[in-house]
Amino acid sequence: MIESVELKNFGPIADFAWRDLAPINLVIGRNGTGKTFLLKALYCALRALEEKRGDEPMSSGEILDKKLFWTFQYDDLGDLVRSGSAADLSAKIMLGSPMFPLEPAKPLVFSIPQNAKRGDVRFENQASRTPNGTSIFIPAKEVLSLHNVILRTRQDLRLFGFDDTYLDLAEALSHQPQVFDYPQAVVQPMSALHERVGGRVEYDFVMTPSQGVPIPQSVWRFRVGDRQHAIGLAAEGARKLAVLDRLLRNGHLRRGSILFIDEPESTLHPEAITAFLDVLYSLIEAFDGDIQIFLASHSYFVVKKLYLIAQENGISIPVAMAEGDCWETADLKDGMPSNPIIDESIRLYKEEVDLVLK
Amino acid sequence: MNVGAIVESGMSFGPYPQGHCFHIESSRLYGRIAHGVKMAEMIVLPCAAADPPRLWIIEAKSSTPRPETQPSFDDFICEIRDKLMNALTLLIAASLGRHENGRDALPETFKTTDFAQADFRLVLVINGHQDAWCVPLQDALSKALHAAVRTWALKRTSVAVINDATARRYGLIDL
Repeated sequence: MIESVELKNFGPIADFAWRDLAPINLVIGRNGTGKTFLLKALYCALRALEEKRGDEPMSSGEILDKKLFWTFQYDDLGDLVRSGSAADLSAKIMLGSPMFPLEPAKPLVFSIPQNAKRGDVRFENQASRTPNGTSIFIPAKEVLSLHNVILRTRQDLRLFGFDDTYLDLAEALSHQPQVFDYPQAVVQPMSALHERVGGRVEYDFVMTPSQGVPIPQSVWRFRVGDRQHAIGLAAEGARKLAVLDRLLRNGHLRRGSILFIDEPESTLHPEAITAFLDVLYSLIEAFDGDIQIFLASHSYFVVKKLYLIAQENGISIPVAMAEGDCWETADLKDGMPSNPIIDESIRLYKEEVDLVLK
Repeated sequence: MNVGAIVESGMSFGPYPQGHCFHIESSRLYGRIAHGVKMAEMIVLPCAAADPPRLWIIEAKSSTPRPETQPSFDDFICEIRDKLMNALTLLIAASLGRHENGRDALPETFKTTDFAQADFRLVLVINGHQDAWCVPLQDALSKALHAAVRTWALKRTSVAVINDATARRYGLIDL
């Protein structure tokens, strides 16, 4: 699990340090401050370790180079270095294991010089991920209705457009379910979540005739009770939640996973947002804290619900807040942080009071 | 004659010009019906020249339960709703002469105010609350008063939950 992060001159992020990370961690800030960039940077670094397995001939440094290219889709590697900065891009991620708490965390370090070209990533690593360790990135846009398009444009055509977070997720979703029941702690909150979205999405193989010869094709279907509908008729929120359901059932989301979720609130009603966050907390309980979640959000409801989870369960939920070039960190265990999301709700409240009393 | 400052929940409301404040709790009218009837503190007519006339029905509190401590939070909101609406109902009932000598109990300025056209504002003032804590209270009280706002044909923006600092800024306290 990630215990701390230090990033310097990484895209829009000038100087960022975040320590004492916990099973659930939140990043908030205005558009363009680098929330998604931060999550993607961590994701790329972890995948560089995780994809170095079996007979893979590339080194983790080479995998990282490739991962950064297909995730940020730049012209030159040096484009990742913060523009106007005189110094190199640098990243230091300390990785520890909840299973071996007495072992000190180990560093994963990389840097990218100004004007770097492909292959110029300097990679120094002492950390490792267990074979169970999988990092998963759930982007803000729903992916189910685009599943085949993502696989075709990236695997077959090798085109820019959908970045590696989409491709990796589409590939993970292609795996058939291995289990029929969720971990015990997840059953009730997941059931409540399905109630909120009014159905569930399932993945089938069907035989589609092609020039008279049936060929198997994968399709997503939306099921409400006994009825099935085409995935296009399912609400976007239902499609989004189906991703989590599928990853749990096919075992990609498991003990040791690190889950990155960009804007969990997108396409979800506030009731579904809170039910979704209840499911995430239940995952922490189900896997005894051996899973880590990073969320980037704009939503008052996400911040408020996570604050309540921290208060009710007495747990730490670190929060990193971007304000322009500056980052601050806080902990929802200590209270609701002062930040633009909360400030805007107060500003709207004051606007309403002014209408009443002026 | 000004009505002297009225101290409620640790805040000093007023003083208001003569005839501009109906301190319900200290009135003989309320004294006759008080048993079992919860009531807001006062009704203030901040500006006699306002057209239409504007009246603030004010309830003061020194603390509130947290929104997550249900059912006490819901009970608190219901109590505030009842107090504010009972004050509005009593004012109109007295004005219509439904209570014996009821009109006489009203301040002079109120007797000549056209309540049919009046713009009523329902205000909860909480001493020492942060603005952020007022936000969910404002939403909850507005929801609880939805039916009353519709049936009394009040403006949609008629409900405010404010702290002492905001009350001071709008001239309700420490004048």
